[in-house]
Parts: sequence; C-alpha cells; structure tokens
Amino acid sequence: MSDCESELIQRAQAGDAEAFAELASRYERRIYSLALHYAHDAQDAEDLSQEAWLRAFRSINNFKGESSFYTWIRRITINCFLNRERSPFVRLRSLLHQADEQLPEIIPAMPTEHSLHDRLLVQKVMQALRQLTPRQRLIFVLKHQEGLTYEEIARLVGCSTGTAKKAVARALEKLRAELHVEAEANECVPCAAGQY
Amino acid sequence: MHNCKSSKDELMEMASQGWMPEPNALTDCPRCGEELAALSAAARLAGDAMQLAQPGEEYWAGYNARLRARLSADSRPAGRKMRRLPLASWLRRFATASVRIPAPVAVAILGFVVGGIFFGLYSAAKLAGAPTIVAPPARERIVEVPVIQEKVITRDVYRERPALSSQSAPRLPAVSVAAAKRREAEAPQPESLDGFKPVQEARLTLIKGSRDEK
Repeated sequence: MSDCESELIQRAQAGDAEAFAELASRYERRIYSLALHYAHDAQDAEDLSQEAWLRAFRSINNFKGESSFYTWIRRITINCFLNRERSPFVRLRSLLHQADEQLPEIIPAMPTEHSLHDRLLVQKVMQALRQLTPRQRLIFVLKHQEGLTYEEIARLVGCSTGTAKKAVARALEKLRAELHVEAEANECVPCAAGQY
Repeated sequence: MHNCKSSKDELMEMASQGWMPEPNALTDCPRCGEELAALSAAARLAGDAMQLAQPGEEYWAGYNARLRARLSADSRPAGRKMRRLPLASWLRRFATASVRIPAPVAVAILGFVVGGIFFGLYSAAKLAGAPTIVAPPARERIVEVPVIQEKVITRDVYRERPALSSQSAPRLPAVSVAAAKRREAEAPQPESLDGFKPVQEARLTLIKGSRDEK
C-alpha cells in the first residue's frame, strides 16, 4: 500500500468523502467489472458497485490495513452480491428476465473505436456467460480475472472448492462451445485403444 | 499412466490460469494437448472480451460524479457517528441484525406461534360464546319439625354390705381357714332376703313366648 493511499485512507477514516472518492477512482473499474459480470446488466452493475462503495465508506473505520485496500473492498463487493442474491425481488426479476426474450443491455457504452470483430467477440462471450448462474459467473471471474485460488474463492463466495472448480469448468465449456473453439479430432492413442 | 479423463480437471486449472500447452508430461498425450489448447484459447478470448466490455472513458467521468454525489449525500462514515453515539449505533446494529436458522427450526417456530395465536383466539371465542350459569337467589324459610325425644336411663345401684368385725372372729390356722373358705364356696348358699332393700327403680325383663310356654 503506497503512502499516498494510506494517507487517503486516513483522511477517509476521518470522514473526508472527497478522499474516499479519490480512493474509489483507483479501483472503481475493477469493482465495476466484477459487478458487470456478476449481474450481467449494466444498470445493475452500476447500482451494485456504487452500493459496495457506499458500504465501504460507512465502514471505512473497520479497515485495519491487515490486507490491501482492494482485497477489503472486493470482499465487501462480493458480500453485496450475495446479499442481493437472497432478495426475493431480485429473484423474481431474474425470472422475468429469463422469460423475456429481449435481453437487458449488458454493456452501457462500448468505445466506438472497437472493431466489429471485438463487438462480436464480446457478444459471444457474454452470451456464453449468460448461460451460467450469477454465482458461477462470479466464480469464473474471480478465478480467471482476479487470479484467486479455488480455496480463496470458496472462502469468499461461501461454497466448497469442488463447487468452485465445477463452476470454472462449466464456464470454460460454455465459452468453448459458444466461441466454437474445438480441439482437433486427434485421438489419444491409449484412450482410442480402449485402455481407459 | 496417463489418463485423459482424470487429467481434465488439471487441464481446466491450467487453462483458467492462462497456460498455453507445452511439451510436458501432461501434454504428451495429443488429445489432452488439443484439449488444453482449446480451453486456453477460450479462456484467453473470454479475458479479452472482458477487457473490451469495459465502458469508455466518458462513462467513468459520469460514474465518479454519481458516486461522489452519493457519498456526499451519505455525508459522514458510520464510524465517526459510532464514536459519538455508541448506544445509537449499537441499537441500529441490533435492530438490523439478522440470524440465520435452519428451515425446519424456522417452520417449527412459525407453527408454534401460529398455533398459539389460533388456540388463544379460539379459546377466547369459546369463552365469549358459552352460556353463563346464574345461581338462583337463595330463599330462607324456617320450618319447625316435631322431634320425638325418648330417653331411657338405666342405673345400677350397689350398696355396701356391713363388714364383719375381725375381733369377733376366732383365730384359725391358715390351712383350716383356706379349707373352710373352700367348703363355704362349694356349699349351696341359702336364699334369703337379708339385707335386701328396694331401690327406686326396678328392672323388669320380659321374655316373649307362646301361650303354652307361659
């Protein structure tokens, strides 16, 4: 943790909202990305990520510096996700979304300089991830984007390591199928021989 | 020996960490090598797409402004308030605290509460609808009943007989006195009315019997 960041944290702990906003601006993209892949809806992602920042601001005095600030805010964000998951209103809304053929807007404003190929790629990846549950998507993002171990993911999300592994495997299978990335049909010699 | 099925988890792990297939013990199997290459490519493409999915710079300016506005509206962190008003903070925490309990226990508690309310209301309604038994007013009346009283008094009266003077009796030896007393007891007593005095009450015993036995 840099001195500048420590100073911002101290100022935020003293009640300086401006210092906290400065801190947030350093990590807001990563937190938003987590929220976007979890909620799979741009508006929900903004609401969720800002709620996480507000909760962090309210409990900034509980931050003791035992972990990095990002690790701390990430834990708060994931707790926000899980609390939202338990809400009956959100469950009902996700059911309605499933029934609705028109998909919600996933990406709010993709930069215009992106090529058509990039846009198609994003669309396909989002389509593949849509077939997973929000929790499975979160596990995949924590593994793939955040680089956490399965044990860390299990502790954060509140599931077993086996569940985390299955979620990642399922996400990779879906992505592979959606992106049409197929292995060549080279048979493993012992497998083809029926040894296994 | 290498097993493609059992090494699938390992392939997933390697692909999710962005590993590319290398000539090692695992990827010596051509099928597993292809599998790892496909999974790695899918994971890499997903990572690229996730980066591309981030909104543009103009979005972040607005996002940060909205966050600052919400932070300002929220004004001060709860920690500072907690230092000032520990009781209020504690009460707020207590009021918003939640406890997770197993579903069967929750159902049992709910059933108990609903049952208690139902039986409470039922018994209250039953008491309200039940006819009340009013005791008739008590009337007092004095009734005189003739009672035949009969009393039989029985009394035995004994009189003391005058004691014989010991001076006048001749002295006899002990054996002869005892023998004399025995003879006296065995000898028939002559019936006499000596010393009889009528008392004030006579006892009469009637024995009922037939005429022939009279």
